Amino acid sequence: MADWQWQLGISGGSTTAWVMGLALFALWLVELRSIRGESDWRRRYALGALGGLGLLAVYLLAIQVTLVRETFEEVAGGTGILLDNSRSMTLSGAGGPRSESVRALIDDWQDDDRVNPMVYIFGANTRGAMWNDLAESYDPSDDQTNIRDALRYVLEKSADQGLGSLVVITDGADSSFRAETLGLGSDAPSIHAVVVGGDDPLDDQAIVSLHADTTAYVGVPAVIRADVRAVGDLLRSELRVQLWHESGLEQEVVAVLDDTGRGTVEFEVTPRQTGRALYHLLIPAASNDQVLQNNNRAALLRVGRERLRALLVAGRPDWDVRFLRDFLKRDGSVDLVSFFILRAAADLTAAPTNELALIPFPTDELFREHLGSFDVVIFQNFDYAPYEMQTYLPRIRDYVQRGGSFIMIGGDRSFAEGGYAGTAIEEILPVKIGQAGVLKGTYQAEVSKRLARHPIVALGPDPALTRQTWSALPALHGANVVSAVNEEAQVLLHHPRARLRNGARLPILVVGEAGRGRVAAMTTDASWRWRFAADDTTVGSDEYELFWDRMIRWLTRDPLLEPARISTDRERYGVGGKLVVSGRLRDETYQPMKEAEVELHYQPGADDEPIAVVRADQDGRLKATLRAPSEPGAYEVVASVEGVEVAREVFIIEESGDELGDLEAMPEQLQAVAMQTGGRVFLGTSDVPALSELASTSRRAAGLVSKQPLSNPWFILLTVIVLGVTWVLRRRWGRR
Amino acid sequence: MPGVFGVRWGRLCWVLACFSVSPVHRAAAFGDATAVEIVSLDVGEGTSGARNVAERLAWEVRKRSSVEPILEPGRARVDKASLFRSPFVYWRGSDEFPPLSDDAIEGLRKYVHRGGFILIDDATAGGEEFDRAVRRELLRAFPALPLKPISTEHTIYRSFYLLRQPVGRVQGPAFLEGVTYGDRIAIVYSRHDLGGALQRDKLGAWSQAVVPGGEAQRELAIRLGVNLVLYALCTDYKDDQVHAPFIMRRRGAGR
Repeated sequence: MADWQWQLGISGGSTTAWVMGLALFALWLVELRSIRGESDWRRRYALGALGGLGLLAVYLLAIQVTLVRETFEEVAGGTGILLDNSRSMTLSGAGGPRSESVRALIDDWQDDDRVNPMVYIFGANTRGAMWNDLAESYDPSDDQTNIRDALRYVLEKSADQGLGSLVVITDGADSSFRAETLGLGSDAPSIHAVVVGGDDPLDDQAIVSLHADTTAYVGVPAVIRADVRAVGDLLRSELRVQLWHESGLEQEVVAVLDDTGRGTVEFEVTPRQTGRALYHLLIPAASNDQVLQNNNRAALLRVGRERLRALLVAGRPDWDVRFLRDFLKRDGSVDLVSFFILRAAADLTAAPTNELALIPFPTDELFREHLGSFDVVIFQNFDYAPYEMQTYLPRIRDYVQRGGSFIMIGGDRSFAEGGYAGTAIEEILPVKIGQAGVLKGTYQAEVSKRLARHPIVALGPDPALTRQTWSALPALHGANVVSAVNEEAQVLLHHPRARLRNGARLPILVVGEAGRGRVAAMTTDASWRWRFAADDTTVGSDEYELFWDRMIRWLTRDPLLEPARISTDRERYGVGGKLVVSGRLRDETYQPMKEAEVELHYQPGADDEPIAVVRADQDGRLKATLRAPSEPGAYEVVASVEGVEVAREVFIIEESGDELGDLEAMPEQLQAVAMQTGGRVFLGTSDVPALSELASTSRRAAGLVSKQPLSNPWFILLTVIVLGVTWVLRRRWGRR
Repeated sequence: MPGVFGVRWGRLCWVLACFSVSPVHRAAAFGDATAVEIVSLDVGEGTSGARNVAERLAWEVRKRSSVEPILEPGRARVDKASLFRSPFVYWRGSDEFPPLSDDAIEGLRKYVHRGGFILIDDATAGGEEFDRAVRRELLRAFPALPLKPISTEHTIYRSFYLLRQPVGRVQGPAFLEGVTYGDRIAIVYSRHDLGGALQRDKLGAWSQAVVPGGEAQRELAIRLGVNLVLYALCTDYKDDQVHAPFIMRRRGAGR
């Protein structure tokens, strides 16, 4: 009866049943009322009970209680094979490599030509394969085992293909797989499982998985956490985990394992410099450890600064200084150190030093000891000479060329007026300073058409709207005149009318590169007017902040503002795994590299030949699937166009990877699946029968069966008898 | 002694102080449009003398610091676009004035929101008319940002000079009042007739006597004026960690 479900046959369903039930109950109450004058209590009870029974019988007949059951029939179905293609199938147990056992099994099955199964192989994804050459072509190399997704994929396909039986061949090394997540229905095909190596458990200590912050910060502790596991004879052995960095052993801990042999260890590391920091976790190999590949894993930390460190030096307070400092101070991602010259030699403070809140300008500390700690140095209307800073200018140049960034903002103490012509600062600026000169008057800075997509000036979603936005911003006033723009530099903003001697437009904002660093020259001191203006001049407060935010981020090489970027689909791969590179390439003017031929190399790489050559699409987007390097280590994939590097991305190759991290077979989940679907489970390949024995019929729905147990003559007769007896007794006892 | 970002300040002694070597800079920048200008605000009657105070304050700031304000600053009206001529306006008054128009109130809000600073100076020595009108209009413009006393620990008292309390032509209350907007004080209200201590006649003589402290008090009033201009230009610059040890030491020495 478990499969039966009851329904109501009466029109209107449960609503009608309720209404009728209440009506008949009311009728019964009326009847009870009518017999309450009966003096003999036996008669009174008999009439009440018989009346109730009669009405109940009528009610049951009227609502037509119906029992319904779905039926199935066995039909001949197809047979499928789902074969694990992950790298863990290459491991060797006492009986040899698992993959060899699989090939031998398939060879045996192929001798029996009564069954021609559909074949799927699975790993990171699931795809079809040919049955005829399966044994020869079987080369397990996937970096993942995902049994659930593979089964779901095949079961979805089976709905169309009439699959009656599915044989899963796997080592079962997928700790995330749970049978109940499949949601198998009664129409699922019979699922059999061959657990390769299930009869041959490993002795192994392993780093199952590694968790580390991909981004860390200088001086801020970061945590590297590893899940470890021991199985087989090594379950009771001490499991030591070491942390190595730059060829040196830094820390070692002994893992505390639970009853199942699993545990977690943590290492706290404090990066000391920006860049990439590679850490290795190592389990020293025990003599009987059968899988050494999973004893060593790597964590790569991209080390940056928690906040950008900016040094703002201003020759004197003015509104341009005030608004820029306010903006930088408000920006939570910037750690600002600012120095303003508040008093000049001839200023008459009329107060002794101890009544002044002035401090010395710590030039030596700033520009010798701590210069390298800043991500960007800003000279805002600042002249160096009064502070005996000549000796520091070459240091600033070297700092930039080593990868720092620098911007000079205009004013009557900047550029030529600040005496920078011929200094080391001019060597890094993107302009030639030349003779002193300033331009006065009001003007509307214009965006260079060719560079309207550059992130610093791209205030609109497209070049047309960007130019429109710039034309609506409050006007600027005055500018430092420079003599020329460096050849490689980019003029982002220029004066609408004034020109240089060579006929080029007078630059207002020029950016460029100096060695490994970035520089900018902004020849106006009036950008604060974009933030502070009356309504009749379009207020650009948002644009002011956007402009300076982009400026600082571009100078400090925020990856999001780089013209070309590529990324890998994962951060770590197993040896020879599948690696997908995608990205978007734009040239230095931020125009898409349409249909560019892109060479992809690995660094370090064995030779100069590219790993792949792909063509970008119309938007400069590219996607390529590569074979990961065959040696463990930290690598970069480098994209080059016409021999010039445009982007790179880092990744790790591990001998183990997640795939070899957790090799413990979990046959109980496959057993649960088999039990639900009427399948069988085999531990090892030795006892697996011929495929034709596993090929079975499939069940399919054959319709509904229903019956109405009360709609039979006996029940109707019983109802009539009860009602008749009630009537007769009422008449005999003087009732109507 | 360790200092900020590892600087050992004791080793700085040989570093030449910035204010001891900087040469005179009196060259005009790129024109008046971007220069520092202490604009006097015309609101109702009783504002005569505001421009003279603005000029004198500009002169004192230029003479004493590296800031180079325009020495002949202009005027602005609260209900006109001229309000945005400069982020610093000086509002001096002594009389009651009629309620500002809605446009003027909205202008005040935008002015402060966009970064403007307003120095309000009650030229009466304890009179109520101007004070009442100022509070009324500020409440209209900034109902959620009431005037509050400014602590004498605030940066305003050490933005250039180290000061202990506010004074003006009169001694007045022991505090300034202000409207804090975001992380800065955007409006400072003085009831000390600060401008009265700075005013000079055409011959250059002080226009008004300063009571009760005489010329010493006048000097402190001028210093407060300079500090207010420097605060408007540098906001909390002197709160930066790098300044703290010096200022703490000097304050300690002065006590």
